[in-house]
Amino acid sequence: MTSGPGTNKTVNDPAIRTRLADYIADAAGANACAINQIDRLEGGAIQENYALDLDVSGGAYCGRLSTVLRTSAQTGVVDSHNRLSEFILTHTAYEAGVLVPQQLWCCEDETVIGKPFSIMMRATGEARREILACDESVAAARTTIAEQLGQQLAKIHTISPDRHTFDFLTPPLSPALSAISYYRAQLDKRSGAYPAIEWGLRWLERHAPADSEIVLVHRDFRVGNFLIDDGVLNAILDWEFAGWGDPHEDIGWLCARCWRFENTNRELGGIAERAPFYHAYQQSSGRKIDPVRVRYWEVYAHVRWAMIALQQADRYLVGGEANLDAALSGLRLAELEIEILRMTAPKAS
Amino acid sequence: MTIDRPGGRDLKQLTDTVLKNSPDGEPRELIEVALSIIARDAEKGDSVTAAYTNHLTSFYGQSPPNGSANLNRRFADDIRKGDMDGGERAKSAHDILQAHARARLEISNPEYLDNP
Repeated sequence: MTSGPGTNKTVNDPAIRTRLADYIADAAGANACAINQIDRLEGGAIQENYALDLDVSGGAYCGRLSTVLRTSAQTGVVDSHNRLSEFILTHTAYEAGVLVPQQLWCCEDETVIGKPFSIMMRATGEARREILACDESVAAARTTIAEQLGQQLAKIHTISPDRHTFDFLTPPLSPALSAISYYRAQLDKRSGAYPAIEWGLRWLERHAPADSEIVLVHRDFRVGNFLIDDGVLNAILDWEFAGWGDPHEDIGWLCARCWRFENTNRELGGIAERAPFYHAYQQSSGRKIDPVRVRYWEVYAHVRWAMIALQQADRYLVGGEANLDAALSGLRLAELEIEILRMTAPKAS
Repeated sequence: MTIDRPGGRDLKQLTDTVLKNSPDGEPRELIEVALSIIARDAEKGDSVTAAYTNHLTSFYGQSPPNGSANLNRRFADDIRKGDMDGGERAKSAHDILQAHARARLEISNPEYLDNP
Protein backbone atom coordinates (compact mmCIF):
# COMPACT_ATOMS: atom_id res chain seq x y z
CA MET A 1 0.00 0.00 0.00
CA THR A 2 1.30 3.47 -0.84
CA SER A 3 0.01 6.92 -0.02
CA GLY A 4 -0.58 9.33 -2.85
CA PRO A 5 1.25 12.62 -2.52
CA GLY A 6 -0.24 16.08 -2.38
CA THR A 7 -3.70 17.39 -1.96
CA ASN A 8 -6.98 15.51 -2.07
CA LYS A 9 -8.67 18.41 -3.82
CA THR A 10 -10.13 17.40 -7.14
CA VAL A 11 -9.03 18.77 -10.47
CA ASN A 12 -12.35 20.65 -10.55
CA ASP A 13 -11.06 23.07 -7.92
CA PRO A 14 -10.95 26.48 -9.76
CA ALA A 15 -7.35 27.27 -8.78
CA ILE A 16 -6.15 23.81 -9.79
CA ARG A 17 -8.06 24.07 -13.05
CA THR A 18 -6.32 27.36 -13.89
CA ARG A 19 -2.87 25.94 -13.11
CA LEU A 20 -3.67 22.85 -15.17
CA ALA A 21 -4.75 24.92 -18.19
CA ASP A 22 -1.55 26.98 -17.93
CA TYR A 23 0.57 23.82 -17.70
CA ILE A 24 -1.07 22.30 -20.78
CA ALA A 25 -0.67 25.50 -22.80
CA ASP A 26 3.02 25.52 -21.93
CA ALA A 27 3.56 21.79 -22.57
CA ALA A 28 1.69 22.00 -25.89
CA GLY A 29 3.63 25.08 -27.02
CA ALA A 30 0.29 26.85 -27.36
CA ASN A 31 -0.74 30.46 -26.84
CA ALA A 32 -3.52 29.42 -24.47
CA CYS A 33 -5.58 26.44 -23.35
CA ALA A 34 -9.17 26.43 -22.10
CA ILE A 35 -10.55 23.44 -20.19
CA ASN A 36 -14.14 23.04 -21.32
CA GLN A 37 -15.08 19.99 -19.28
CA ILE A 38 -13.63 17.69 -16.63
CA ASP A 39 -15.44 14.47 -15.72
CA ARG A 40 -14.25 11.63 -13.48
CA LEU A 41 -14.22 8.38 -15.43
CA GLU A 42 -15.46 5.08 -13.99
CA GLY A 43 -13.05 2.25 -13.22
CA GLY A 44 -9.42 2.57 -12.24
CA ALA A 45 -9.11 0.82 -8.88
CA ILE A 46 -5.71 2.33 -8.16
CA GLN A 47 -5.49 5.35 -10.46
CA GLU A 48 -7.96 8.18 -11.04
CA ASN A 49 -8.85 9.05 -14.62
CA TYR A 50 -10.59 12.21 -15.79
CA ALA A 51 -12.00 13.00 -19.24
CA LEU A 52 -10.57 16.39 -20.12
CA ASP A 53 -11.96 18.39 -23.06
CA LEU A 54 -9.59 21.12 -24.18
CA ASP A 55 -9.58 24.08 -26.53
CA VAL A 56 -5.98 24.75 -27.52
CA SER A 57 -5.02 28.01 -29.26
CA GLY A 58 -1.87 27.88 -31.37
CA GLY A 59 0.95 25.33 -31.50
CA ALA A 60 1.05 21.79 -32.83
CA TYR A 61 -2.12 20.73 -30.97
CA CYS A 62 -4.25 23.72 -32.00
CA GLY A 63 -7.98 22.95 -31.87
CA ARG A 64 -10.28 20.84 -29.75
CA LEU A 65 -8.67 17.91 -27.96
CA SER A 66 -10.39 15.05 -26.17
CA THR A 67 -7.92 13.78 -23.59
CA VAL A 68 -7.67 11.78 -20.37
CA LEU A 69 -5.81 12.99 -17.29
CA ARG A 70 -4.45 10.11 -15.21
CA THR A 71 -3.23 10.49 -11.65
CA SER A 72 -2.78 8.39 -8.52
CA ALA A 73 -5.63 7.70 -6.11
CA GLN A 74 -5.32 8.71 -2.45
CA THR A 75 -3.65 5.35 -1.72
CA GLY A 76 -2.39 2.63 -4.03
CA VAL A 77 -0.42 -0.61 -4.19
CA VAL A 78 3.36 -0.92 -4.05
CA ASP A 79 3.74 -2.79 -7.36
CA SER A 80 2.30 0.10 -9.35
CA HIS A 81 4.64 2.35 -11.38
CA ASN A 82 4.71 6.09 -10.88
CA ARG A 83 3.16 8.25 -13.61
CA LEU A 84 6.41 8.97 -15.46
CA SER A 85 7.42 5.30 -15.68
CA GLU A 86 3.96 4.33 -16.88
CA PHE A 87 4.03 7.18 -19.40
CA ILE A 88 7.37 5.97 -20.82
CA LEU A 89 6.23 2.35 -21.04
CA THR A 90 2.93 3.24 -22.69
CA HIS A 91 4.72 5.50 -25.16
CA THR A 92 7.12 2.65 -25.99
CA ALA A 93 4.15 0.37 -26.65
CA TYR A 94 2.60 3.05 -28.87
CA GLU A 95 5.84 3.26 -30.87
CA ALA A 96 5.80 -0.54 -31.23
CA GLY A 97 2.38 -0.31 -32.89
CA VAL A 98 0.31 -1.52 -29.94
CA LEU A 99 -3.23 -0.14 -29.70
CA VAL A 100 -2.73 2.35 -26.87
CA PRO A 101 -3.82 5.97 -26.52
CA GLN A 102 -1.17 8.42 -27.70
CA GLN A 103 0.65 9.82 -24.67
CA LEU A 104 0.90 13.61 -24.69
CA TRP A 105 2.52 15.01 -21.55
CA CYS A 106 3.64 13.86 -18.12
CA CYS A 107 3.92 16.35 -15.27
CA GLU A 108 5.86 15.49 -12.11
CA ASP A 109 5.50 19.01 -10.66
CA GLU A 110 3.20 18.52 -7.68
CA THR A 111 2.37 22.23 -7.50
CA VAL A 112 0.09 21.93 -10.56
CA ILE A 113 -2.67 19.63 -9.28
CA GLY A 114 -1.10 18.37 -6.05
CA LYS A 115 0.38 15.15 -7.44
CA PRO A 116 2.05 13.91 -10.65
CA PHE A 117 -0.19 13.20 -13.63
CA SER A 118 -0.09 12.31 -17.29
CA ILE A 119 -2.33 13.35 -20.16
CA MET A 120 -3.15 11.17 -23.15
CA MET A 121 -5.46 11.31 -26.13
CA ARG A 122 -8.88 9.83 -25.32
CA ALA A 123 -9.68 6.62 -27.21
CA THR A 124 -13.34 5.83 -27.76
CA GLY A 125 -15.08 2.78 -26.38
CA GLU A 126 -16.09 0.98 -23.20
CA ALA A 127 -13.70 -0.88 -20.88
CA ARG A 128 -16.21 -2.11 -18.28
CA ARG A 129 -15.79 -5.86 -18.05
CA GLU A 130 -19.55 -6.41 -18.20
CA ILE A 131 -19.60 -5.15 -21.79
CA LEU A 132 -17.10 -7.67 -23.08
CA ALA A 133 -18.01 -10.53 -20.77
CA CYS A 134 -21.80 -10.30 -20.65
CA ASP A 135 -23.27 -7.90 -23.21
CA GLU A 136 -25.08 -9.74 -26.00
CA SER A 137 -24.32 -6.93 -28.47
CA VAL A 138 -20.68 -8.07 -28.58
CA ALA A 139 -21.39 -11.82 -28.47
CA ALA A 140 -20.72 -12.29 -32.18
CA ALA A 141 -17.52 -10.26 -31.97
CA ARG A 142 -15.90 -12.11 -29.07
CA THR A 143 -13.89 -14.53 -31.21
CA THR A 144 -12.61 -11.68 -33.38
CA ILE A 145 -11.70 -9.70 -30.27
CA ALA A 146 -9.84 -12.77 -28.94
CA GLU A 147 -7.81 -12.83 -32.17
CA GLN A 148 -7.12 -9.11 -31.91
CA LEU A 149 -5.95 -9.60 -28.34
CA GLY A 150 -3.54 -12.31 -29.51
CA GLN A 151 -2.13 -10.00 -32.18
CA GLN A 152 -1.80 -7.10 -29.75
CA LEU A 153 -0.09 -9.17 -27.07
CA ALA A 154 2.37 -10.43 -29.70
CA LYS A 155 3.21 -6.79 -30.50
CA ILE A 156 3.72 -5.97 -26.82
CA HIS A 157 6.07 -8.94 -26.54
CA THR A 158 8.26 -7.65 -29.38
CA ILE A 159 9.60 -5.09 -26.87
CA SER A 160 12.68 -6.75 -25.40
CA PRO A 161 15.74 -5.80 -23.32
CA ASP A 162 17.89 -6.36 -26.43
CA ARG A 163 16.43 -3.27 -28.04
CA HIS A 164 14.95 -1.25 -25.18
CA THR A 165 16.27 -0.11 -21.82
CA PHE A 166 14.38 1.61 -19.04
CA ASP A 167 16.42 2.93 -16.13
CA PHE A 168 13.63 1.95 -13.71
CA LEU A 169 13.46 -1.71 -14.86
CA THR A 170 16.08 -4.46 -14.57
CA PRO A 171 15.59 -7.70 -16.54
CA PRO A 172 15.38 -10.57 -14.02
CA LEU A 173 17.51 -13.71 -14.41
CA SER A 174 14.45 -15.78 -13.54
CA PRO A 175 11.12 -13.90 -13.64
CA ALA A 176 9.43 -16.62 -11.58
CA LEU A 177 12.05 -16.90 -8.80
CA SER A 178 12.44 -13.14 -8.69
CA ALA A 179 8.67 -12.70 -8.18
CA ILE A 180 8.56 -15.40 -5.49
CA SER A 181 11.36 -13.72 -3.58
CA TYR A 182 9.62 -10.35 -3.91
CA TYR A 183 6.29 -11.65 -2.59
CA ARG A 184 7.93 -13.48 0.33
CA ALA A 185 9.61 -10.23 1.30
CA GLN A 186 6.20 -8.51 1.08
CA LEU A 187 4.65 -11.18 3.33
CA ASP A 188 7.49 -10.82 5.84
CA LYS A 189 6.58 -7.16 6.31
CA ARG A 190 3.05 -8.07 7.42
CA SER A 191 2.00 -8.87 10.97
CA GLY A 192 -0.18 -11.83 9.97
CA ALA A 193 0.82 -15.10 8.29
CA TYR A 194 -0.83 -16.48 5.14
CA PRO A 195 -0.27 -20.23 4.86
CA ALA A 196 -2.28 -20.70 1.64
CA ILE A 197 -0.28 -17.99 -0.14
CA GLU A 198 2.89 -19.59 1.20
CA TRP A 199 1.64 -22.90 -0.19
CA GLY A 200 1.23 -21.29 -3.63
CA LEU A 201 4.65 -19.65 -3.48
CA ARG A 202 6.31 -22.91 -2.45
CA TRP A 203 4.62 -24.73 -5.36
CA LEU A 204 5.77 -21.98 -7.73
CA GLU A 205 9.32 -22.31 -6.39
CA ARG A 206 9.37 -26.07 -6.87
CA HIS A 207 7.95 -25.88 -10.38
CA ALA A 208 9.71 -22.75 -11.66
CA PRO A 209 10.72 -22.88 -15.34
CA ALA A 210 14.43 -23.53 -15.82
CA ASP A 211 14.76 -20.59 -18.19
CA SER A 212 12.61 -17.84 -19.65
CA GLU A 213 12.63 -15.58 -22.65
CA ILE A 214 12.46 -12.00 -21.36
CA VAL A 215 10.10 -9.48 -22.96
CA LEU A 216 7.96 -6.56 -21.86
CA VAL A 217 4.87 -7.94 -20.16
CA HIS A 218 1.79 -5.81 -19.53
CA ARG A 219 0.97 -7.56 -16.23
CA ASP A 220 -2.69 -6.54 -16.23
CA PHE A 221 -3.80 -7.85 -19.61
CA ARG A 222 -7.44 -8.78 -18.86
CA VAL A 223 -11.05 -7.67 -19.17
CA GLY A 224 -11.51 -4.24 -17.71
CA ASN A 225 -8.38 -2.97 -19.45
CA PHE A 226 -9.56 -3.59 -23.01
CA LEU A 227 -11.36 -0.66 -24.61
CA ILE A 228 -14.05 -2.02 -26.96
CA ASP A 229 -15.71 0.26 -29.49
CA ASP A 230 -18.58 -1.10 -31.54
CA GLY A 231 -17.39 -4.69 -31.14
CA VAL A 232 -13.78 -3.92 -32.02
CA LEU A 233 -10.73 -3.72 -29.73
CA ASN A 234 -9.68 -0.08 -29.71
CA ALA A 235 -7.06 0.20 -26.96
CA ILE A 236 -5.12 -1.66 -24.26
CA LEU A 237 -5.21 0.43 -21.08
CA ASP A 238 -3.49 0.64 -17.68
CA TRP A 239 0.24 0.02 -18.03
CA GLU A 240 1.05 0.73 -14.40
CA PHE A 241 2.33 -2.82 -13.70
CA ALA A 242 4.27 -3.45 -16.94
CA GLY A 243 7.81 -4.79 -16.70
CA TRP A 244 10.27 -7.39 -17.94
CA GLY A 245 9.05 -10.96 -17.64
CA ASP A 246 8.17 -14.28 -19.27
CA PRO A 247 5.68 -13.85 -22.14
CA HIS A 248 3.57 -16.69 -20.69
CA GLU A 249 2.91 -14.53 -17.63
CA ASP A 250 0.51 -12.30 -19.57
CA ILE A 251 -1.26 -15.31 -21.08
CA GLY A 252 -1.59 -16.96 -17.66
CA TRP A 253 -2.98 -13.74 -16.18
CA LEU A 254 -5.54 -13.40 -18.96
CA CYS A 255 -6.67 -17.04 -18.72
CA ALA A 256 -6.65 -17.38 -14.92
CA ARG A 257 -9.97 -18.38 -13.42
CA CYS A 258 -10.05 -15.23 -11.24
CA TRP A 259 -10.58 -13.06 -14.34
CA ARG A 260 -13.35 -15.17 -15.89
CA PHE A 261 -15.88 -14.16 -13.24
CA GLU A 262 -19.21 -15.84 -14.02
CA ASN A 263 -18.08 -17.07 -17.47
CA THR A 264 -15.86 -19.88 -16.20
CA ASN A 265 -16.22 -21.92 -19.41
CA ARG A 266 -14.80 -19.10 -21.53
CA GLU A 267 -11.22 -19.74 -20.51
CA LEU A 268 -9.80 -16.67 -22.23
CA GLY A 269 -10.64 -14.24 -19.44
CA GLY A 270 -14.39 -14.89 -19.64
CA ILE A 271 -14.35 -13.64 -23.24
CA ALA A 272 -13.89 -16.65 -25.52
CA GLU A 273 -12.18 -20.00 -25.93
CA ARG A 274 -8.39 -20.00 -25.79
CA ALA A 275 -7.92 -21.34 -29.33
CA PRO A 276 -8.49 -18.21 -31.46
CA PHE A 277 -6.27 -16.17 -29.14
CA TYR A 278 -3.51 -18.81 -29.07
CA HIS A 279 -3.60 -19.15 -32.85
CA ALA A 280 -3.43 -15.39 -33.47
CA TYR A 281 -0.67 -14.91 -30.88
CA GLN A 282 1.45 -17.73 -32.29
CA GLN A 283 0.96 -16.55 -35.88
CA SER A 284 1.84 -12.96 -35.03
CA SER A 285 4.75 -13.63 -32.68
CA GLY A 286 6.26 -16.75 -34.20
CA ARG A 287 6.47 -17.99 -30.62
CA LYS A 288 4.93 -21.32 -29.59
CA ILE A 289 2.73 -21.15 -26.51
CA ASP A 290 3.65 -23.80 -23.94
CA PRO A 291 0.44 -24.90 -22.13
CA VAL A 292 2.42 -26.18 -19.13
CA ARG A 293 3.99 -22.76 -18.71
CA VAL A 294 0.64 -21.03 -19.14
CA ARG A 295 -0.78 -23.19 -16.35
CA TYR A 296 2.22 -22.34 -14.16
CA TRP A 297 1.57 -18.63 -14.67
CA GLU A 298 -2.15 -19.14 -13.96
CA VAL A 299 -1.21 -20.44 -10.50
CA TYR A 300 1.08 -17.43 -10.18
CA ALA A 301 -1.79 -15.14 -11.24
CA HIS A 302 -3.90 -16.27 -8.28
CA VAL A 303 -0.98 -15.84 -5.88
CA ARG A 304 -0.30 -12.37 -7.26
CA TRP A 305 -3.99 -11.41 -7.07
CA ALA A 306 -4.03 -12.63 -3.46
CA MET A 307 -1.09 -10.34 -2.67
CA ILE A 308 -2.87 -7.43 -4.36
CA ALA A 309 -6.03 -8.24 -2.37
CA LEU A 310 -4.05 -7.83 0.86
CA GLN A 311 -2.79 -4.46 -0.35
CA GLN A 312 -6.28 -3.37 -1.42
CA ALA A 313 -7.56 -4.07 2.11
CA ASP A 314 -4.62 -2.06 3.52
CA ARG A 315 -5.86 1.02 1.70
CA TYR A 316 -8.56 1.27 4.36
CA LEU A 317 -6.93 -0.59 7.26
CA VAL A 318 -3.57 1.21 7.01
CA GLY A 319 -4.18 4.16 4.71
CA GLY A 320 -7.59 5.12 6.08
CA GLU A 321 -9.13 5.49 2.60
CA ALA A 322 -12.90 4.98 2.94
CA ASN A 323 -12.98 2.88 -0.21
CA LEU A 324 -15.51 0.06 0.10
CA ASP A 325 -14.69 -1.38 -3.32
CA ALA A 326 -11.01 -1.80 -2.40
CA ALA A 327 -11.90 -3.24 1.03
CA LEU A 328 -14.19 -5.82 -0.56
CA SER A 329 -11.39 -6.72 -3.00
CA GLY A 330 -9.39 -7.60 0.10
CA LEU A 331 -12.08 -10.09 1.02
CA ARG A 332 -11.60 -12.00 -2.23
CA LEU A 333 -8.62 -13.70 -0.61
CA ALA A 334 -10.43 -16.98 0.13
CA GLU A 335 -11.59 -17.28 -3.53
CA LEU A 336 -8.01 -16.91 -4.68
CA GLU A 337 -6.77 -19.42 -2.13
CA ILE A 338 -9.35 -21.95 -3.36
CA GLU A 339 -7.98 -21.61 -6.90
CA ILE A 340 -4.34 -21.83 -5.76
CA LEU A 341 -5.13 -25.00 -3.80
CA ARG A 342 -7.25 -26.51 -6.59
CA MET A 343 -4.40 -26.14 -9.07
CA THR A 344 -1.65 -27.39 -6.74
CA ALA A 345 -3.22 -30.37 -4.96
CA PRO A 346 -0.61 -32.99 -3.97
CA LYS A 347 -0.64 -36.11 -6.12
CA ALA A 348 -2.23 -39.15 -4.45
CA SER A 349 0.48 -41.52 -3.22
CA MET B 1 -13.19 -13.72 10.26
CA THR B 2 -9.81 -15.40 10.86
CA ILE B 3 -7.05 -14.02 8.65
CA ASP B 4 -9.39 -12.13 6.32
CA ARG B 5 -9.16 -8.38 6.58
CA PRO B 6 -11.08 -6.22 7.01
CA GLY B 7 -12.86 -8.35 9.60
CA GLY B 8 -16.56 -7.92 10.34
CA ARG B 9 -16.07 -5.11 12.85
CA ASP B 10 -13.71 -3.12 10.58
CA LEU B 11 -16.02 -3.63 7.63
CA LYS B 12 -19.00 -2.41 9.66
CA GLN B 13 -17.09 0.72 10.62
CA LEU B 14 -16.11 1.38 6.99
CA THR B 15 -19.64 0.80 5.72
CA ASP B 16 -21.03 3.21 8.33
CA THR B 17 -18.44 5.82 7.29
CA VAL B 18 -19.27 5.39 3.62
CA LEU B 19 -23.02 5.67 4.26
CA LYS B 20 -22.55 8.72 6.47
CA ASN B 21 -20.20 10.57 4.11
CA SER B 22 -21.90 9.78 0.87
CA PRO B 23 -25.21 7.96 1.27
CA ASP B 24 -25.97 8.09 -2.46
CA GLY B 25 -22.41 8.04 -3.76
CA GLU B 26 -21.44 4.40 -3.25
CA PRO B 27 -23.17 1.85 -5.47
CA ARG B 28 -26.00 0.24 -3.54
CA GLU B 29 -24.73 -3.17 -4.64
CA LEU B 30 -21.45 -2.70 -2.75
CA ILE B 31 -23.25 -1.64 0.42
CA GLU B 32 -25.48 -4.70 0.24
CA VAL B 33 -22.51 -7.02 -0.27
CA ALA B 34 -20.74 -5.48 2.73
CA LEU B 35 -23.81 -5.75 4.97
CA SER B 36 -24.26 -9.43 4.02
CA ILE B 37 -20.63 -10.21 4.87
CA ILE B 38 -20.92 -8.39 8.20
CA ALA B 39 -24.01 -10.47 9.10
CA ARG B 40 -22.43 -13.79 8.09
CA ASP B 41 -19.21 -12.93 9.94
CA ALA B 42 -21.16 -12.19 13.12
CA GLU B 43 -22.88 -15.56 12.79
CA LYS B 44 -19.98 -17.80 11.71
CA GLY B 45 -16.67 -15.96 12.15
CA ASP B 46 -15.75 -17.34 15.59
CA SER B 47 -16.59 -20.93 14.68
CA VAL B 48 -14.49 -20.72 11.50
CA THR B 49 -11.48 -19.59 13.54
CA ALA B 50 -12.09 -22.27 16.18
CA ALA B 51 -12.33 -25.05 13.58
CA TYR B 52 -9.09 -23.93 11.93
CA THR B 53 -7.29 -23.81 15.27
CA ASN B 54 -8.56 -27.32 16.07
CA HIS B 55 -7.29 -28.61 12.74
CA LEU B 56 -3.84 -27.11 13.30
CA THR B 57 -3.69 -28.34 16.89
CA SER B 58 -4.51 -31.84 15.74
CA PHE B 59 -1.99 -31.59 12.87
CA TYR B 60 0.86 -30.60 15.19
CA GLY B 61 -0.35 -32.82 18.04
CA GLN B 62 -0.26 -30.04 20.62
CA SER B 63 -2.18 -27.00 21.80
CA PRO B 64 -0.85 -23.66 20.68
CA PRO B 65 1.49 -22.34 23.41
CA ASN B 66 0.79 -18.68 22.71
CA GLY B 67 -2.50 -18.69 20.89
CA SER B 68 -3.78 -19.65 17.43
CA ALA B 69 -1.90 -16.84 15.66
CA ASN B 70 1.41 -18.51 16.55
CA LEU B 71 0.19 -21.84 15.21
CA ASN B 72 -0.87 -20.15 11.98
CA ARG B 73 2.58 -18.53 11.74
CA ARG B 74 4.32 -21.86 12.37
CA PHE B 75 2.18 -23.51 9.69
CA ALA B 76 3.09 -20.78 7.18
CA ASP B 77 6.81 -21.01 8.06
CA ASP B 78 6.83 -24.80 7.75
CA ILE B 79 5.20 -24.61 4.32
CA ARG B 80 7.81 -22.10 3.16
CA LYS B 81 10.66 -24.29 4.48
CA GLY B 82 9.38 -27.24 2.44
CA ASP B 83 8.19 -29.36 5.37
CA MET B 84 4.87 -29.97 3.57
CA ASP B 85 6.30 -30.80 0.15
CA GLY B 86 5.24 -34.41 -0.10
CA GLY B 87 3.65 -37.50 1.41
CA GLU B 88 0.85 -37.60 3.95
CA ARG B 89 1.96 -34.32 5.49
CA ALA B 90 1.39 -32.53 2.20
CA LYS B 91 -2.04 -34.08 1.82
CA SER B 92 -3.07 -33.17 5.39
CA ALA B 93 -1.77 -29.60 5.06
CA HIS B 94 -3.59 -29.16 1.78
CA ASP B 95 -6.82 -30.50 3.31
CA ILE B 96 -6.57 -28.06 6.23
CA LEU B 97 -5.94 -25.11 3.92
CA GLN B 98 -8.78 -26.08 1.63
CA ALA B 99 -11.26 -26.55 4.50
CA HIS B 100 -10.27 -23.18 5.94
CA ALA B 101 -10.58 -21.36 2.61
CA ARG B 102 -14.00 -22.94 2.00
CA ALA B 103 -15.22 -21.99 5.47
CA ARG B 104 -14.11 -18.38 4.95
CA LEU B 105 -15.80 -18.33 1.57
CA GLU B 106 -19.04 -19.23 3.35
CA ILE B 107 -18.66 -15.79 4.92
CA SER B 108 -17.11 -13.67 2.18
CA ASN B 109 -18.81 -15.08 -0.93
CA PRO B 110 -20.82 -18.31 -0.49
CA GLU B 111 -22.08 -18.16 -4.08
CA TYR B 112 -18.55 -18.83 -5.29
CA LEU B 113 -18.81 -22.36 -3.90
CA ASP B 114 -21.82 -23.03 -6.14
CA ASN B 115 -19.80 -22.29 -9.29
CA PRO B 116 -17.20 -25.06 -9.64
